[in-house]
Amino acid sequence: MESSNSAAFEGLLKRGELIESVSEMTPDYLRELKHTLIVSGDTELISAPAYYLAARKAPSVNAFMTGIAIIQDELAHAHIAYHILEELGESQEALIFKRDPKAFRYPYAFDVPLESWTELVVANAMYDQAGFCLLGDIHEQCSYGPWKRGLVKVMAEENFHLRNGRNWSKRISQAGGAAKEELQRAVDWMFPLTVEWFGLPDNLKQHSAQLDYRLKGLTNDQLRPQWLSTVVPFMASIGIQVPAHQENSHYVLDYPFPSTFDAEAKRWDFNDPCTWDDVLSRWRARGPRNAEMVALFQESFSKFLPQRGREISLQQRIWSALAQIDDPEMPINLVDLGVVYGVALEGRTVRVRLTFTAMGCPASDMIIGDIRERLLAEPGVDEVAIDVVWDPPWSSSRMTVEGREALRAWGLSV
Amino acid sequence: MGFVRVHHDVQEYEVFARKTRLEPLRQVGAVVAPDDELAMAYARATYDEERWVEMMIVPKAAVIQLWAPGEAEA
Amino acid sequence: MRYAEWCIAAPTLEADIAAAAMGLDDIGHSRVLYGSLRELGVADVADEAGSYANVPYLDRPWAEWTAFVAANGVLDSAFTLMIEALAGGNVEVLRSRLKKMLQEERYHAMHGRSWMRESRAAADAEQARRDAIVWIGPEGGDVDDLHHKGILSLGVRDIRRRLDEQVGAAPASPPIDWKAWDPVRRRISPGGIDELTLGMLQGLAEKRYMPAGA
Repeated sequence: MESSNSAAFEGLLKRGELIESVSEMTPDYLRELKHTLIVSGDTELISAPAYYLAARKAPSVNAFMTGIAIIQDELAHAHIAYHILEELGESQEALIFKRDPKAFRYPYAFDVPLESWTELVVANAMYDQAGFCLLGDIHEQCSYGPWKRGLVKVMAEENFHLRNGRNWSKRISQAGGAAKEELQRAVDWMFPLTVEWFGLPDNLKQHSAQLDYRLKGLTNDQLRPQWLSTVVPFMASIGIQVPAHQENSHYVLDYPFPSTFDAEAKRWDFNDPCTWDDVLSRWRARGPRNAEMVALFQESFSKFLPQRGREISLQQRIWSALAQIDDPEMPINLVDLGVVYGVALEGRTVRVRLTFTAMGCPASDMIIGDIRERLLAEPGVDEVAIDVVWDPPWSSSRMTVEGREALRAWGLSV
Repeated sequence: MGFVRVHHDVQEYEVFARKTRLEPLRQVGAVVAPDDELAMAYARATYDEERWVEMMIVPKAAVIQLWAPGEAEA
Repeated sequence: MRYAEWCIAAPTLEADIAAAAMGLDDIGHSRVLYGSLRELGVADVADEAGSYANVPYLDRPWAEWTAFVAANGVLDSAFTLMIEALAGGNVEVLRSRLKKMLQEERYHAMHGRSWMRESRAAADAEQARRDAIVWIGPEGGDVDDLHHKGILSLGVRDIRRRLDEQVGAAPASPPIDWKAWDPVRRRISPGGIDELTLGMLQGLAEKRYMPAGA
């Protein structure tokens, strides 16, 4: 039965159709999809504090508003990715608020502080262009329906960020003098960092399952030139120099790639080429602003949590107690089975909204008895009320990934 | 399993909107919130990519699915 | 602008987004209001920290999410009531223009009041409430005058009562010393907004990006 599911999956993929739910996926596909979503969500999320710290230096309320509008978009885009991850069984709260700063997966460029309005608009013109290339590819190719649909909003808005970056870069260049010099300095350190954004050259890269699964369509060596072909001519058009030039139909970098970067001084040493291993270890160590940005995000969450301490801990204890109760007929707990629709606390009474897999479920009395007994054993609980509901009806799509895997291991096709 | 936020209990809402009086409502996304009021505020803030003529939210738990992709195509 | 400062610091991602959106709404609203003032012949819009008639609660960035929540629940409710009073009054320019603003502000107050139910924000809420009452002004003062002239559809008493209905009545708090009240800046305490915000409001740094000699 497992193999028929996998054949159906291959069929959908081959016909260029969209995958719509976990039940249509193979575990490998689910893993690659989650990984790709995490990178995308993290990138959008971390761009927000990176841009915010620079938007504080906005020269006027109008400029500040534009900065905030862009940040709002980036956050909403992160929300799309994290909410899909949540639908796939991950915890949005754990991903955003409980992860170690070094565990976030976003381009190294955001770890180097943007410290002025000028650097922010250059980021809009170059970083957001890179995001536009990468997401545009995903939007076009993506085999996972919910994400493909979510990206419609994302693409439209990223376009606005690019325009802001370009308009302001042009304006600053036209102002000349010290303003233009500052713009040139920003481009000098940010251009090579954005080139790095597209990752290792294809010949050094391991085989990409993302391409097989149509989670993206273009390779690093195809995306990088796409970016160069928009950014290089634009910078030339506003009189700003970049270390790359056009040869026939393609663009060539004027410096050894990769090179050594001093993040504190924001300086490249093009006389000191390095290896991709050096670059990878710089990325892994993360840059100067990584911890600060994640802390900004997580601080009020951890401060707020103790306020909700009692409710949260009891609520969580009840969910984990329910996750200890197995279905009498199958090796799967009630939470993974997806029959618990909600838990509410009313003083010392716990109300559980429960459904069954079928109306004539012979084990229903036994399950209700198990729940009552187990929850009454929790400190802080005096009474247990169980509301059996049939709306919405249970379906196998309500099972968690873990539950599905447990049943597959047991030999049941789900 | 239910979604988790700092609030003690939350639920998911589907967000529907349309751009013109002519077109039908379509699903534009989802929000997770502890109550209808916050869900309304979130839907409005999160899905502001268009000047919608109409927007509404529905608790996901109230949506009844008749069949899913794959079930009617065979 | 204080809301926008929380766009990367709220306890949920949804609230981050809402903070950014509400910050943008409010800056937009301030433009509508300043624009209306100009149309009504008031050219003199504030230009230094000491001349803004803002609620003192907004002078400085907030250190805690509960302070955000209290502002969002209490100040937005108070502000919405004042806008309702203006929209229901007899100044035609305002009646038509404030409809959208009212709709947006209602979502702000909803957001704030929902979070207030979830938070221990009582101390911040009381401070915000007190600042709001002072900002609205004393009974028999200018707001009541405007009410009698029909420019505002609500008087001080109505506004306070509705505010209590929406955010809960105040616990016993020390009486307000109206003798020290400044009717122009609508506050008792001295002080004003912080330097960074003021700089942005006045566009001081914008000159750097102007072509030389412009």
